[in-house]
Amino acid sequence: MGAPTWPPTPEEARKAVLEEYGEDARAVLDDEEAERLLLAPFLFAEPRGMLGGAEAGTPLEPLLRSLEAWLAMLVGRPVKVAPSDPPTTDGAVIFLPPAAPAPAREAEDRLFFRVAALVQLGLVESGLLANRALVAEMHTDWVLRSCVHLLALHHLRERWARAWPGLARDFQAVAALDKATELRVNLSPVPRRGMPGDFVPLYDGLVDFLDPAGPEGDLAREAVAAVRAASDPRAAPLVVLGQARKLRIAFRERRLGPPPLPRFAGLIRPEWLLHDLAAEMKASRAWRDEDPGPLRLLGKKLRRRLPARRAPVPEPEALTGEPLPPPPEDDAASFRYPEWDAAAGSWRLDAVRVREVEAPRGPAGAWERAVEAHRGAIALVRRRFASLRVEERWLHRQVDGSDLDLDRAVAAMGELAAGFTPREDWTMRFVREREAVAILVMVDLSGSTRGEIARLERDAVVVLSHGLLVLGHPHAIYGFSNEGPEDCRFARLRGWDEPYDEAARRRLGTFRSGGSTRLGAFVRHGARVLLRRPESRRVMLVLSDGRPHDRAGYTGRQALADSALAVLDARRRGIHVHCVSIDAHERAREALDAVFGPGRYLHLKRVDELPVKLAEALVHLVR
Amino acid sequence: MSVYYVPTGSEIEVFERAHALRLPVLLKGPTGCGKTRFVRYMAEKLGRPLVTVACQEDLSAADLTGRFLLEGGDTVWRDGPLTRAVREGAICYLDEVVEARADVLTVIHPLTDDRRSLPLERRGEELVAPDDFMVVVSYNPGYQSVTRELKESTRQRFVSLSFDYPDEDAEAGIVAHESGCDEATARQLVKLGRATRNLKDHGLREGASTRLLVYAGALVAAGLSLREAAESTLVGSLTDDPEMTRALRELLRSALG
Repeated sequence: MGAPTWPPTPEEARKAVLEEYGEDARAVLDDEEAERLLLAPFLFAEPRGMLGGAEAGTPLEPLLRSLEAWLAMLVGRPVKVAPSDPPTTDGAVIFLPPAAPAPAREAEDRLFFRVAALVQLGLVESGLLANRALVAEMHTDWVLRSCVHLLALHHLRERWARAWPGLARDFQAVAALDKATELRVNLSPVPRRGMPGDFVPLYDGLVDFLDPAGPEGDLAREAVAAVRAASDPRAAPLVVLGQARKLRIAFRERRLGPPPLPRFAGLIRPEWLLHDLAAEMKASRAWRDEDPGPLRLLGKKLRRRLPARRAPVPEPEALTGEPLPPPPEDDAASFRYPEWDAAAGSWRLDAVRVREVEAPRGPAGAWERAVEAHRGAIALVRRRFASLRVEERWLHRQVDGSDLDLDRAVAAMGELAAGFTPREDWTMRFVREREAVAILVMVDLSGSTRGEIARLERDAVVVLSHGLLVLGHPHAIYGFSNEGPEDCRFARLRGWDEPYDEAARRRLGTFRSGGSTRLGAFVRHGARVLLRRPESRRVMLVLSDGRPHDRAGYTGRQALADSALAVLDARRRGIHVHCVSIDAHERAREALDAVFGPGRYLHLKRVDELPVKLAEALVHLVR
Repeated sequence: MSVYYVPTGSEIEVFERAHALRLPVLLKGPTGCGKTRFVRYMAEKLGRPLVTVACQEDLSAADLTGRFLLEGGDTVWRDGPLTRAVREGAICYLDEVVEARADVLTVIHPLTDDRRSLPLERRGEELVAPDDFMVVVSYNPGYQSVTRELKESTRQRFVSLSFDYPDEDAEAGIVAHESGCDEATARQLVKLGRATRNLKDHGLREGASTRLLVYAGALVAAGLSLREAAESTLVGSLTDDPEMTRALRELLRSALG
């Protein structure tokens, strides 16, 4: 389905739905409300990222640090910003698009990011998102969501300008940028032209900040005036919500569908706020099961058909690896994690079980052979890691330093001349200090990593170990693979405080691979392991040879969506997650983009580069 | 009083009592919040000379107490600032005391307990401090690292006074008084300065100090525009990091348009 015209009439929508989905839909259409019909083209349209490919202008990533600093100064607390499409917030992190809309014009694009961030941050600061009942309601009601967002935009514009007068100019300037004010419903662009007459005054008042005429104009004007006048921070969320409900009723009565949102305003994604609240999910699921309303029936039917219409996702190669020998039950710690069910749009609670086990030891000598084979790479990596030490200075008055401390030597001569025996501390020493980073290296041990790939992974980890030892940061190396959701093994190759002794070397020297890659569960467990560390900087480096994949229920888009959410959640908790992939498949980048995000992984086409490139990836993360 | 100081709590009373009881005082607080000004103010109020030592890593015990120097063919003893302060009954102020090595600081221990004496081993002499002598040390907790903490045996010898930046009204008053700028300008500067303090440990090691805001106010009073004055103090003096510089410039734009 192409970009819909806005807004479609109920008849047009009915026709479009019937054409698209056939007679199956007819049985339930009679019961549909007109508004829901209006939503159908958007609900079931092919999801379309806001800013992909040629649409992308200036990327967000290089601007993140200054943007976070600027926001922190405005609100008086640290603010975390991360890329995501569409822009939204989960109450803790401000998510902005990975790039501003094309064409790239840095000053304009900075403005776009600033204002988009202010809107999301304002939503958090206003307390609107703390209203769980509202969030749950918006979870299922798109029209209300759009109304809340539009009115919140007016309120926030007023509020920010009151606190920081210069921001009024930013809001005005962004409203003059076509690239920022393009209208969207969900992720689909909608044209400004062709709107029915009674929509225009509402649109003018709510979206374009104009002073519209007529009864619809009065409605918009009253709502906007009320939220702009709400200066008491405790009352403002209630005023916004109350006026949004009034507008929502008006939109339904006039059969107008959801009002489109300007691009810079973005969308609240309530499911992000709800996703970790098991109780709310259970309630949501129960509600959905008990109330299979007509639209939901239609939705279920359509969803079944939708995957076939999407671009095909290549299935991973058949798994042929030998399974890891099962560890004894009583020496394994066991952890349960939820999984995101992309098809159902909900979480499966306690869906997987991850066990921490000790990886099996291989024969002696494999580590040493790998060291011998990569002596050059190890020397290179050690030099590279040594250069990461950040603070360098001279320590004066040392007994055993490397250079003469001239000032002290002169003073000592004076003491000698006066008949005293000076302390022999007339040398100085050069020292380096650095902030500790907790580094967790996670190696894919699934069945696809057999033979040459497994050997190269092992060699890469051996080379990396030498670099990590030079660096001195606390680190651990784990392998992961699974046999279905109940048997996910997080296998210790080298623990945090473990020496590289014979036992560790035999584990590291011989990877035994087998099973599948239920990546989401392992990333969640890796995050848990890292969050137990005292260091404030934490890095997770995933070494993988392919896409996440397990038996039925964790394949294709399902596996990508769950893994992506796990990575996102880890990043929200302040963990730097990065992947080095040696997936040879031609569509590997697509999967890596989806799970780790553009620029957050290293894709190697030549596997023999792995030992050095893996270390290089870590250098970028900890420097 | 020639030294201008606006109290933020009971620090003057505490200091006076400590001086009367011959107890040493430790001042802690962020850079430029008024610690040194407070010591100068108290020295003048109590009528005592002030001897200030800026501590740093290479400071030695001899730098504090004194040393023999070569003059011609002779060796001559020269008092260090601590010895001089003891002889004069002055207030000896060791600024940023944690920057000095811990073993060097043990030289002040006998002066900070009931002995109140300073042994000069090189001269075979032990000075007894007069009643008016007082040791005051200061440090900025934000600058400490694990390797630069005040030893417990040193810390527990002091009466402590914690300093922070004054509240918004008081700080605006100080900026206006010290710089000569008008109150509206002072208020805008204080608002900007307080915003930068939110970046402490999140991009900046310290936010703008009251002292820096006074400099900015003085530049405005001397004819610069507020934006120019803020640019050269709140941006240029706080960081060299290009991204933090950009964030600070955007803050100025958000505040001043």
